[in-house]
Amino acid sequence: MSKQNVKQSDKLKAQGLKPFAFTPEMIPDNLDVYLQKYRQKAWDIFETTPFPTRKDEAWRRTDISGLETSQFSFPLNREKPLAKFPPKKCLAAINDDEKRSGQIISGIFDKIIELDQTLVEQGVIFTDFRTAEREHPLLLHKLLDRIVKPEEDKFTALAAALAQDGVFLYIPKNVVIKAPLHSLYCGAGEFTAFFNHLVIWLEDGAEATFVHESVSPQPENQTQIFHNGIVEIFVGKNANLHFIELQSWGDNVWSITRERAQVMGDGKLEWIYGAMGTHLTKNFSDIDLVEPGAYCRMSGFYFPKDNQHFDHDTQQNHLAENTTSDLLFKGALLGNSQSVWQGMIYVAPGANGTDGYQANRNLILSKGAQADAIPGLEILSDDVRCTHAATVGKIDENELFYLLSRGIPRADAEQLIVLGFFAKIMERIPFDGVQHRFVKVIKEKMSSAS
Amino acid sequence: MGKHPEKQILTELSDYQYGFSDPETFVFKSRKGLDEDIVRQISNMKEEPEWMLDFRLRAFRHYRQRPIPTWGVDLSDLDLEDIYYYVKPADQESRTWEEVPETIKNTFDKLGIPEAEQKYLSGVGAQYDSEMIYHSVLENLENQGVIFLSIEEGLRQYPEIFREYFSTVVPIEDNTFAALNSAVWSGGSFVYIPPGVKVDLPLQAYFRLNVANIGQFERSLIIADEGSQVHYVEGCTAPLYNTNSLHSGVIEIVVKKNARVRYTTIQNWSNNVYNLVTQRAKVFENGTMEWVDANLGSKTTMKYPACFLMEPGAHGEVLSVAFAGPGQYQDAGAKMIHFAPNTSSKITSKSISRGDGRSTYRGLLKVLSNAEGSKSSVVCDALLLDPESRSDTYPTIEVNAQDVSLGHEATVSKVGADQLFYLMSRGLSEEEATTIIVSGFIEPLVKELPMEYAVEMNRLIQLQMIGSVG
Repeated sequence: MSKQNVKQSDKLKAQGLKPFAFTPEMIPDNLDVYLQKYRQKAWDIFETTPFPTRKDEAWRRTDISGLETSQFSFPLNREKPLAKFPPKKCLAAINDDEKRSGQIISGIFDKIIELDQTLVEQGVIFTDFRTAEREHPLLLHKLLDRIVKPEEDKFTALAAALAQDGVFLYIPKNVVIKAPLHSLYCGAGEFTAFFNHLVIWLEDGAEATFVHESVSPQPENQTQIFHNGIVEIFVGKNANLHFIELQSWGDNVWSITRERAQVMGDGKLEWIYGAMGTHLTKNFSDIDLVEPGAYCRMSGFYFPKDNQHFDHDTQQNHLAENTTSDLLFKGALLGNSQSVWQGMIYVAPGANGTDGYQANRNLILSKGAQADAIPGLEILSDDVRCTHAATVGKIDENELFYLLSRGIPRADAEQLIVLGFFAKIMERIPFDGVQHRFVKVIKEKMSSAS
Repeated sequence: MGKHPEKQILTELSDYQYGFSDPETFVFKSRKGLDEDIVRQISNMKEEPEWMLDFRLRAFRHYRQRPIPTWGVDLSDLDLEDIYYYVKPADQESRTWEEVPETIKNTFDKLGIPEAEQKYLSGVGAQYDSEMIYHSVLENLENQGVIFLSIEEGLRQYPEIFREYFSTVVPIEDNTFAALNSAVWSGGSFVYIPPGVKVDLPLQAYFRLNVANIGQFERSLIIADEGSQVHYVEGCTAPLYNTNSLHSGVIEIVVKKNARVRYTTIQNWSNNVYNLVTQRAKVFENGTMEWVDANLGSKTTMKYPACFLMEPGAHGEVLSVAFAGPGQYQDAGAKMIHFAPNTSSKITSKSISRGDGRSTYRGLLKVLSNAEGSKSSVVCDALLLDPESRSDTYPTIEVNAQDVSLGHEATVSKVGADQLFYLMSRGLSEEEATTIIVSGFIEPLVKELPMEYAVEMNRLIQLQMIGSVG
C-alpha cells in the first residue's frame, strides 16, 4: 500500500482517471460491528490506494483510462423482472432434468432466493451477501477476510467496502448436494455500478456444483456500466466443488474482478470460466493448493469481437507436497478485439511431487485482432513436473479446404472449426443447457462478424 | 550438500581454472566512477572523430536519466561508482603475438588462443580489459575483402561503412546498459564480409578481464553483405575477485539479403562478474541469423539475444544454454520480432540449476500486424538438480497478425529417477550418471558447436557438476 500521497496524485494524473463519485455514506449498513469495521477498513484502503497504472506489471496490457469513473452511481430502483430481461434462457434450467437445488436472482432486480428445504435442514446456507450479513454475521466473522484481502488493490478494496450484491454459499461438513445451485446476476442502466462479493465455503467432505452467471442487456447508447467483484472460495479437506462462472455482460460493461480459491488436503476444485461479454474485462483468478493432495483443474474460454478487450490473469500456487493443477484457457478472436492471458505456476520450496500444467490456445479469426499469451513458471523445488504451452494461430487451411471440398459453405465451415476448437473446453461443462447456450453465442458472434 | 557452504565455495574456487590474474601492467587507468570528463578522455585517447564524441556524450546524458532496471534480477549489489570504466592494457594493438606484451601473451597462451588460431580459426581478436590487444585474419580472407579488425581500427580505417551501420541496430535509448555502453564503449570487433564471400572457419574474439573492479564495454559491429556467410565465436573469462566487475557489451549485426551469420558465445566469466549484454541482429530478405548462447559463468547474467526480422523470408534462431551453479543467477532468453510477412523464428532454451543457483528463461516473441504468414516455435526445458535450485520461465507472446502459426512449450523437471537408476546399475557413480544426463540434456546445443568448442563445453559442464551429488 502506498502511503505517499504525492506519488498517488502523480499516478492519478498519469492514468487520467478521475476519482470515483462514491462516498463513505454509500457503504451498506451493518448492525454487526465486525462486519461494519471490515467494510470501513476496506473503504479506507480504497481511499488511500492509487489506481493501478500501466506501469504495474499486472496492468501493463490493459488500459482502463477510458473508464468514466466519476460518472458511476448505484442503480436507483430495484426493478421487477421485465418480459425481455433477464433472458428466459438464463432462467431456464441448466440441465435436462430441470432439477436444481437452489437459485438466486439478484442485481438490478428484487432478489429471489430459493433453496431446497432438505438442504436448509442440513445446515446449508445459500443466500445473497446482504442477507448473510444480517442473518449469519458470526459465520462471516470466521470466513471473511481470509482468502481475498481488501489490501490487494484499489478495486478489491472498493468492492469489499461497497458490495450490495453477492452470494454466500456455505456447506457444512460431509453434506453432498447433488443438483446444481444457480445464481443469476443481472446488471442494467446507464452509468450504474454493480459491486458483488461471493463467498463459497465447503467444509471438509462437502460436495456441490455451483453455476454463477452475470448478464446485462446490450446497450442502446454510449453509456458505461461498471462491475467490480470479489470471489472467495474455500474447499475443505476431501471436499469437491464444481464452480462454473459465465459472463455475458453487455458490450458496455467494464468488469474488474478478484477471485481466489484455497484448496485443502485432497480437496478437489473444478473451475470453469467463460467470457463472452463486456467492453473490458480484467480478471484475476488465483488457486492456492495449500495441503497435500489438493487438486484444481481450471478451464477458461473467451471469445471477444469488435473492440472488446479481455485480460485474464491466473496464478497456480503449489504450496504443499503432491498437489496438482491443470489449466487450459482457449480463446478465439474476431474484429479488432484483444485478449491477454497471463498465467503463472509457482512451486514453493519443498512442494515436492508437484504436477503443474498450463496451456493457452488462441485462434485469430480476423486481421485486426491481437492475442497476448504470457505463461510463466517459478519453480523453487526440484522434484516437480511443470509444463506450459501457448499457441497462437489461425484457422487451419487444410481443415477448411476439407470442409469446403465437401460442399460446406465457407461461413459454416469456419463456424464448425471454431466450435471444434472450443469443444475440449465445452466438454468440461457438465450441463447440456449451458453448453447449448454457449454454442449459440459462438454461432451468433461468427455470423454477425461475416 | 547445502550444509557445507564453505566446502562448496572452496570447490567452486578450485574448479574455475581461469581464475588466475596477472600483475597490473596497464598503461592507463581512469579513476573510478563515471562522469563526462571520463567519457571525453576515452574518446580523446582513441583519437575519435567529433561525431563519435558527440554520440558518446549524448549516450552519457541519456544514461544518466535512465533508471537501473528493477525487473528480473537484483542489481542492487552492483555499485556503478566503484568501477574503472577504462583500463588501457598496452600502447597499441598487435598483428602478431610476438608484439603483444609478455604477461598478456602468457595469459592468452594459458587460455590456448594462439594454438587454436593456428589449428582451426580464420581469424582471432583478443581483448584484455578495455582494449583489443591483438587482431589478425587469414591472408586469403583479407584478399577477398573480409574485414576483421578491432572496433576502433574499424572506425579509423572504414569510417563510411562504420558510420552507416553503427548504432542502427541498437540505439542509445534501447536500454540503460546499451546507453552506458554507447557512452564508454571500448574494444570489440568490426567485421565486414563482402557479398558472396563464405568464411569457412570461425572468426574468434576472446575477452579477458584482468584488473579488479573493471567495467568492460565491448562493442561489436558485424555486417554480412548479400549472400555472404560467417561464424563468429566469442569466449570470455576473468580472474576471481571478491569485488564486482561488470561486462556490458553491445553487439550489432546486420544480415543482408541471403546472408547467413552465426554468433556463438561461450560465456565463462568468474563468479564476481555482472554480465549485462545487449545483442541484436537485423535480418533482411531470406537472411538467416543464428545465436548460439552458452552462459556458464558470471555472478549475474542478463542477456536476451534478439533478431529483428525486417524483410520477407528472414529467419532467426536462438539456441541458448544456461547453467546456474551455486550463487549464480542466469537470466537469459531471446527476443524475436517479426516485422515482415513470411518470416520465421525458432528459440530453443535449455537451463540447468544447481545448488542455490537460479536460471530464468525470459523471452519475447512479437508478431507485428503486417507480418502475415509468420511462423515461430519456442521450446524451453529446465532441469533442476537439487532442492535449493530454482528455475523460472517468463515467455511473452504478442501477436497482432492473423495468419500466423506460433507455439511455445516449456517443461521443468528434475533428473529422471529411472535414467539415474539405469546408469547407476551399470556401475556409474551418482555424480557420473547425473553428469551424463546433464550432457545429454544440452546435447542439442553442443552439437551445434565446432568440435573443439564442443569438447570444451562438455568439460565445463563436468567442472560445474563436480560436487553436485552427496
